[in-house]
Amino acid sequence: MNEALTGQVNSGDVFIWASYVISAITLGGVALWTIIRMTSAKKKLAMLEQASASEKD
Amino acid sequence: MFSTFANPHRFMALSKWLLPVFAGLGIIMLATGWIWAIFFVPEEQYQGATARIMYIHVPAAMVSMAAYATMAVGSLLYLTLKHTLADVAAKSAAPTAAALSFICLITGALWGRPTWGTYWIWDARLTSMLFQLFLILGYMALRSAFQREQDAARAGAILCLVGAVNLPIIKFSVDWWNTLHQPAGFITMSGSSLAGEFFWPLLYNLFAMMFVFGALLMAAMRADIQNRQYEAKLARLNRSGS
Repeated sequence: MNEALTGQVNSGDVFIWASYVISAITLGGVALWTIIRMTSAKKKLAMLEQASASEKD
Repeated sequence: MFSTFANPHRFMALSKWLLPVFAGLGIIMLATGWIWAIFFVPEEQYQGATARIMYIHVPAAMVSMAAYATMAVGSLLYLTLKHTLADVAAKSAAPTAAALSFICLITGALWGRPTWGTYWIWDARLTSMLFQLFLILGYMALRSAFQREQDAARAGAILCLVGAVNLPIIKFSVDWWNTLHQPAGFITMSGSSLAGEFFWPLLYNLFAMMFVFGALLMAAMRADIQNRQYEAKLARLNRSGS
């Protein structure tokens, strides 16, 4: 009630932190999901190549 | 020339060293850019500290549209030239494009509450961005409904190209209609309306987000190419075994 009437928005702190936290979680989630997909694809392909090579031998 | 670069083997070789560069730059620039925006950028005259949300919101909005444009170009090249790598790029850009559209909408709502007094309004800019998110989710759902990769690629590409009409609508919605969302001020034909102390951290965060998108796109493309190589090899082995 005693705040000066400056015309400036001054109730944003929780919104600022929420914005950065939600963005970090979303980007982190996509990055983690992509890394898991990339490593599992690489592993799967390597196993198949190994299996087909040992079959040839 | 395009065919030279559209070779999956060449892409795998190139992205092997380009991916860590983009990922490293993206992580370092995003971390420092956010610290710059939260702790060092001065408060804006009217928006106060709430303007700090802009340093995620604006880059997320711009890069999400660039990601959708990547999907559209990939789809067009796939439909016209039948390059598999173009389809791989379109498919791989979709999850990051959806995540960035989501971030743009959420941070916009969190900025709108203290500034406009509401989280949401059916304004042309906000609605067209929400439509972009639904389009990308629809694209991903449509692709997963098909068993054969070629059918998924074709149907997805058509949907993506039809949805590309939304890109200029998002961009020019603030000029074509009377919206609550403010018009473009960051990068315009006549320069920027932002003071240097706000412009440079925003530009830095935009580049950070572009590197993050580039890294995620390359990683997803590498995963998709290796999955396709696995499927092809497995089918070949099954044929030779039977």
